[in-house]
Amino acid sequence: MSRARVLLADDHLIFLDALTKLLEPEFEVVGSATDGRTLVSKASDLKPDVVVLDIGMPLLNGLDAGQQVKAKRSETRLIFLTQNQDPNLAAEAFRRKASGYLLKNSAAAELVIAIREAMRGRTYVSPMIAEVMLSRLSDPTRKDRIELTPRQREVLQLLAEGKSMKEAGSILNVSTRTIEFHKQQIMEHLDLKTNAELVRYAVKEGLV
Amino acid sequence: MFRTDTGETPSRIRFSFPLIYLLMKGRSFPRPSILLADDHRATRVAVASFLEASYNVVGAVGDGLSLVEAIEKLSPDVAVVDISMPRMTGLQAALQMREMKSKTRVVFLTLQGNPEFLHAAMAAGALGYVLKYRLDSDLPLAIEAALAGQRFVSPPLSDLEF
Repeated sequence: MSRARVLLADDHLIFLDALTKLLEPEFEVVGSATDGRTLVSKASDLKPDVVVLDIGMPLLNGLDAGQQVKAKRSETRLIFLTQNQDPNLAAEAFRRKASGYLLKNSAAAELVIAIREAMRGRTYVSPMIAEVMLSRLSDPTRKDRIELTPRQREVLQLLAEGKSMKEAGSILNVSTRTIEFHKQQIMEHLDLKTNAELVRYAVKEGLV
Repeated sequence: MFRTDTGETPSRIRFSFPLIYLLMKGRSFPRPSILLADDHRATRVAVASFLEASYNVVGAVGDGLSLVEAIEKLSPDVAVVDISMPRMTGLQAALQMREMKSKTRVVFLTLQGNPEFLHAAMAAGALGYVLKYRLDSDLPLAIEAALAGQRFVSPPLSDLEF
């Protein structure tokens, strides 16, 4: 039986290295990416069985990159890794049809199990996440999320990372005016008055 | 919110709200000084602008070594520090600061919710531990607590403290 083909994405090279060494005995690591946009294009070329991806990545975060990967090829299984404790992220990951969700400080063995489960069509959730989601149920201060469109999230991440509107436009292949429009819409929708507030929102949402 | 331009508490406040005056008396006038340390520019921008309304943000650095240098030079009241930073982590920097007998209170602002990091942070002498996604609600509370010499840990973690 041929080994499952896995594509990795994480912005920390040392971690990518460690993941590759961890997985190589059992799986075929077909490639890696250090940002979400490269991930989407590599996934499109390589058509892996499983993508193991970090949520916090520059240019395009893992949640949004994962959504794009799934949209192009729904058979691809997504396993999310994160160090971010925000329980909302777990909810977001499952909304994007994650096959697995693990905190980065989970034992390495958990990831291997998660990939095996994903290949069997099952979902694996790190036991630590159950705790995290339970704490969310008892946290009344967290408001319901306001939804931004996927495109708005893309624009928001790039602007919050410090890209100019012109740079963002060229990365997304749209005009600067379109970026301006999206930015305006985002600020109105979220009732943000300044650029700093925009960046702060992005930090809180884990986009940067 | 009670301060005039010179940073003095108006006398009507001093005498009509003695408890508040007493609480504020222990703070340094002008506004408390805060130094930020985070290797993500976006976080530095977001936190600085957020805090500027109530505090004097004296600087923002991007790694642990620069943090230690800035602490020595500026001696801020509070340092808001990320854990994972290049050259020296926030935890290592906190330990250094303690060795230097620094008076600066340390509040960690981090993605890391692992109890081990929390314990390490407290063991390194930090007073505050705030999860980044709870920046709005928790950071001001943690800073005020730290200024009063008290601990604050973001509620989702607070029963893991001991």
